[in-house]
Amino acid sequence: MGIVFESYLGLIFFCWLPIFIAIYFFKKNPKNEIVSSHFLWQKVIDSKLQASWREKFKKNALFWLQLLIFILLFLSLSEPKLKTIFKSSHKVAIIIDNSGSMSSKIAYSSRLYQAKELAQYYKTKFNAQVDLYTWNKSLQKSNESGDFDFNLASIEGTHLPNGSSGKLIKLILEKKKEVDTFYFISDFIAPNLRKFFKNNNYSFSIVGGKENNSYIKNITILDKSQSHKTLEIKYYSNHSSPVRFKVQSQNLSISSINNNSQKGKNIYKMVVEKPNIWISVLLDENDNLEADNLKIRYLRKKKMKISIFNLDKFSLWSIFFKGFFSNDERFELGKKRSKNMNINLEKKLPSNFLKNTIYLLTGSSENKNKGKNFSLSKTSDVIAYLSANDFQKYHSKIETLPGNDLLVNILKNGEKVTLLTELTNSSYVLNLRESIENISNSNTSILFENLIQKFLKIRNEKLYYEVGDDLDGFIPEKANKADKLGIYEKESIKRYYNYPLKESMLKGQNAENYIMSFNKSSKFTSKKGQSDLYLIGVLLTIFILLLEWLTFVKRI
Amino acid sequence: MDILQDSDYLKLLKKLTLFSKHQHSGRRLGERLTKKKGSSVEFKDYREYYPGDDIRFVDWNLWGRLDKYYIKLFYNEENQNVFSLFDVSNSMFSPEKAKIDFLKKFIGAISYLSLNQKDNVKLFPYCDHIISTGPEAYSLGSWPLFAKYLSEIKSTKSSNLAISVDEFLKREKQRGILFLVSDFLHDLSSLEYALKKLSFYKFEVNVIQIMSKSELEPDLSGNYLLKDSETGVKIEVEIENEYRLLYQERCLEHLKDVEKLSKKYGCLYRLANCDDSFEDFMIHLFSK
Repeated sequence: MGIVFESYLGLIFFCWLPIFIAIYFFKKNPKNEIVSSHFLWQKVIDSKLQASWREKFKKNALFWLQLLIFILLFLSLSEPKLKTIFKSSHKVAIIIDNSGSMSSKIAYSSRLYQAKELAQYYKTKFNAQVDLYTWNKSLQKSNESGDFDFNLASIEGTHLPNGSSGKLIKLILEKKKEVDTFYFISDFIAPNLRKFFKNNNYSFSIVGGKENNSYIKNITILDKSQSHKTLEIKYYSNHSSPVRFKVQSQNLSISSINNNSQKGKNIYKMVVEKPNIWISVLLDENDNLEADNLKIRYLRKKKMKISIFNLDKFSLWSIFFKGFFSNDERFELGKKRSKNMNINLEKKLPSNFLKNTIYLLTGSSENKNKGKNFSLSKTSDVIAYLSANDFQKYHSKIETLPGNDLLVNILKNGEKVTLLTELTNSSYVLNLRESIENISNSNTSILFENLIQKFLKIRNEKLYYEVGDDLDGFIPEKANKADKLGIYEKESIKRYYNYPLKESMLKGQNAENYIMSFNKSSKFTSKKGQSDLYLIGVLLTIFILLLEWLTFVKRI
Repeated sequence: MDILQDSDYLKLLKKLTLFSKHQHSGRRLGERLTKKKGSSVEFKDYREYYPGDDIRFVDWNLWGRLDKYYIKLFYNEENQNVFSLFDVSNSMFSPEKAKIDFLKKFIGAISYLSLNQKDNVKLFPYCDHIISTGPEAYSLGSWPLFAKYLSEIKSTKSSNLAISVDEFLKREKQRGILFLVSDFLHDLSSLEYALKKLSFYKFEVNVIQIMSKSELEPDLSGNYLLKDSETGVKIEVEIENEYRLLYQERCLEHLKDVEKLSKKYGCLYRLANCDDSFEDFMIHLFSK
């Protein structure tokens, strides 16, 4: 570990530090003198202060010094740069990913916005000729007007998936001779691309958070009455095209939702958990979505509780989010939005927890089995199976959810892992996996990890999630294609595929909020313009030092 | 105070007389003529004799010339009240008690003079209120009491002239000569309030401002942490020549303001530099 300074000019300030300290140490203490009254002296001080700015300055010398320190701190942290007239001969190419995932919005900032800011930063940093490229399905040069700022501002988000990274590599190789520095800004760097960058010492930056790439684009209230509401939700996930579905809700309380008698198919339930802030929409299977060609797997086949903001009630939150929606902005599902959702999975568990722990997920429908819980019964088929296969139960916990029980058995590292679900007809599907190594390399393991990750995340954020009955049936035969296309076709029906490749699923996990950049050190130029500010800082310091010195000498 | 123990000096003091502009009648016989008729040797008027009058006061010369009986009337001689309201707050004890020593000498001298004239003398030391009433006497026989009382005065807190004057007026219903002695190093609104009230109640007020040389012309130079003797508050001041001149300017303005205020309410004002000769000050005070 060590500290690396991008510019050693800043250290000059530290050189002054001992001098300042010395002056304060050697400063002659004022002589104590008892006077009858301050009355006349105060008059003199007041008239002096009124008369002279120098006296004011002297009186508040410490304040000015503190102010200076704050300014220097501000300058060093914000690193503003002065624009110089002469442009550097340095040539930079910035490639911005504007695929669908880059449009993900967290609060008021999207990844694309972050990317643009980053591009602006690079441009200012080098003050160089910059070529802008956008990369979604294809790679395009964005230099219509020749004005960088205009070109940057004109880059818009798309809903397209990223195309082949080969095109990107090809471009870089082609431009290698004429471009000094490449910057690639995306929310995800494919392994092959990452490898290419690292091998060639090129720079790339990752923007975005650790959030799910799914997001709701728009929510419209279509119909509103005393008894029910109809919402239209426009939903995006990863690189998909938008999907719309309608939700008709009934005004039911949490207690009534939790009451089994209220449960059943074809019911959309709306729960107002906290007036003015939250609406939770609980979707059941066999909903109206069947009428659409585009299928949302999770929404259709699983129970899923989407928390959205209440747009009806008047509150600061609703005002904020009304503006949010009306501007056709998006927010990411899974983003923490209230005190109840402050559990951060990533903070509690190590990033590679999936590799070190084996999970067994079992599900049962209490509604259909009338309270029978096979997972807890010693004589149940599941326990029998586990015992037979030498699975040691490490920890188990029952999550009682409306309509369903979910049991998570976390087992110690074993050789095998099982995904078991209960079917609606009380039969079980047991999917036996092989060793951990095999699991991590197989597509099904990705699905498995994905499920676990999502389950845990959703559980921690108090969202409902149920493992379905025929999960394997939805795993595409060619997962690579599915990942890129985002649409999976089965039985001549286009279905939305929500299980991308492992890397894609882990994308959010790897992505970091802050800017991570790898610079091609050999081609890096010094920060022009910054030195000017440092010079100003040094001059200011000298000025203050001189003043202090004069005062010091005078006192002696 | 030693000077007040010096018998030669006290003899000199006996030669001085404390005059007052107005006649304030006292309770006892004294040496000050009043407008009232009495039994002094100072002739006032004649009046016709009425049966029952004391025949010793019949002017027989007039009877011889006019063949009528006339009674000779004489002025009465009474004593007078002499009050000393003096500041004994911490500021008077700074610097190095020069001011309080001067004050004690002054109050002692005035008291001695007044007692010599058989005036009724009362002392009222004050800080933020009247601390205690000192000895009250009307003859020189009580002088040792005064000398002892003055020598035992100690410093106390900060001063508040307005409250002290209010207290004084509550205690004293009789009028007389009042010596108001302080350094007046505070806001002059309280002095104005005091003078306004005292003049309303027809006291003959003499304002004596005692300042030290270090207050009038400070010889400080350099960086100082000045501690207020009354409040204890410290201020750091870098005193340069320019600063000193400005201080003297402000000080002079303040002294002039005190004088103006005194004259406004018909009071006698004297500035005393405690580092100068006390005798000179007394001669200067009684010469005008």
